[in-house]
Amino acid sequence: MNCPRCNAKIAFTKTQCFNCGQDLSGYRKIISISNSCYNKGLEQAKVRDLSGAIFSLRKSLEFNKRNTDARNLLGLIYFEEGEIVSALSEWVISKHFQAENNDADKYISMIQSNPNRLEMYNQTIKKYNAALFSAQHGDGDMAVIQLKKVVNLNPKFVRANQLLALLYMMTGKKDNKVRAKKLLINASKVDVTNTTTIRYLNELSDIHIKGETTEKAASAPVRVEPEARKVVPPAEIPDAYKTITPYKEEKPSVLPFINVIVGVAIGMALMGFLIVPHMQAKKSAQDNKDFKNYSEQMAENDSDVSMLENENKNLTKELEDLKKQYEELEGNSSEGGVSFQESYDLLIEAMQYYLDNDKVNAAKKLAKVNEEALTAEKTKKLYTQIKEDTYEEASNNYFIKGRDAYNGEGDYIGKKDYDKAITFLERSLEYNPDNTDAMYFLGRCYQQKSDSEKAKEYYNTILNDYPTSPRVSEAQKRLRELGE
Amino acid sequence: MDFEAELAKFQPSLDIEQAEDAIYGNNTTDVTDLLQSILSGANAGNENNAVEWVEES
Repeated sequence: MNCPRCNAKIAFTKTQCFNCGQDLSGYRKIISISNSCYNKGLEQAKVRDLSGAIFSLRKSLEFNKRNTDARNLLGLIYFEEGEIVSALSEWVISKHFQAENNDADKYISMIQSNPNRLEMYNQTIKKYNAALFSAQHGDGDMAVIQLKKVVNLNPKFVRANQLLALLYMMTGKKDNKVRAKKLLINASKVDVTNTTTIRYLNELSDIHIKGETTEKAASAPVRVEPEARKVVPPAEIPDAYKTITPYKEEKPSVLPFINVIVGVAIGMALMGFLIVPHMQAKKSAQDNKDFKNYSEQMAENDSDVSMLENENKNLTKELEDLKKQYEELEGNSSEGGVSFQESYDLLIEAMQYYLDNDKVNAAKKLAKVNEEALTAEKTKKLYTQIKEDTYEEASNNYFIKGRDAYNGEGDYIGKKDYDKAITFLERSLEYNPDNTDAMYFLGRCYQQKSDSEKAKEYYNTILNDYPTSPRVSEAQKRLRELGE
Repeated sequence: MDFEAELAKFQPSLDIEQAEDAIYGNNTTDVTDLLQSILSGANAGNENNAVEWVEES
């Protein structure tokens, strides 16, 4: 403690200031009384005799306004009763008197750390004041509405509970009285010795509510007998501050959090057992439907593909046939021969030579004509007629050339050429297979070339197939030369 | 019970905007202040000067 005269710091046990010599016995007495009042207030607060505690703590502060423990506890009690501004005021003043190691710091920061909570408290107070104003000016209904909100926001706001209970009581209705009694019982749980609450409860003593016996027991002022402790004159306590135990705020209930967690768990379980299976079944049904539609679509597509493939095959075949026909017409057929168009062209050329009386060239052109390509009957007839008129002469023409080449006469004078002669003679047979002259000279050519077998073959053909031919005797003669 | 009288007993609660006024208005004088005043008056030898303080309202 500090000396009240020179403000020097002195141990509480000293009875005289070592600095100024001031007698401190009176001052110690005052400090002790303040501490005693604080101790009493603390005991009262512990049993929720908040009205008594407020009285004791105020008394303590009247003796020593610097008793920060008493002031902090007073602030806590105000806070508990819903008087937020009064609580903050006490803590701020406490902080003013003791800047260091002060629990008020913790309480103030607790309020300030949550602006929403502070705003909620402020709104609660404003609503209460508005409701009080309404009630005092005859608008009880509006006041009731406002106070219901206040009590809902802060159920421990004692004055709001009391005012709402009073307004209910003023209506005189029984159900309202029941409500009033419930509110008062609620208020009495916060402050068990509040005289206003007790007075109103007495007014409602004829009102019975469900479970009243237990409520009554709970709401009845609790008179706790002081503990049988040794009463020591405060002045003789060695260090009065050491006896002061700091007030501990009640721990917040965890029940609401447990309820929230249980609610969430139940919700998740419901979702897991009811909603999710339903959603999965719905999704599965939709998937099955989609799969069925997809399968049908696939089958339809397969059918279409098969049909298109067949159509494509037919069209390809038709195309190939048409191409083949076209190639045949164009003369590009792989089977060889002369095309339709070329055959007609050759026939026309042959006819031109025939009209010019050039039968050899006419026969040459006719030899190239593909007879099968001539489909028209008249064309065929024309072809046959020209052929009959020209082939024999062409055969004779080639025979003469072959004979000249064999004998070394005409164009081949002085130079016998048996191979050339064979070529001409064979061509002569092509135009007239019955030309025995050509056969005879072919035999002669091969005989001259010492190919007896081939020579005999031609001679025997004349003898066997053309026995009336003028070349028969010559053929026999040549065969004898060859040893037959 | 006189409900109107009971209603009149209720006083408005201080809201946050009034907190500053409540703090500055809480200039109480305690017994230690009285003692200090007495002691300082005695030391000055001027016992006739009455110590003045503000009563708590």
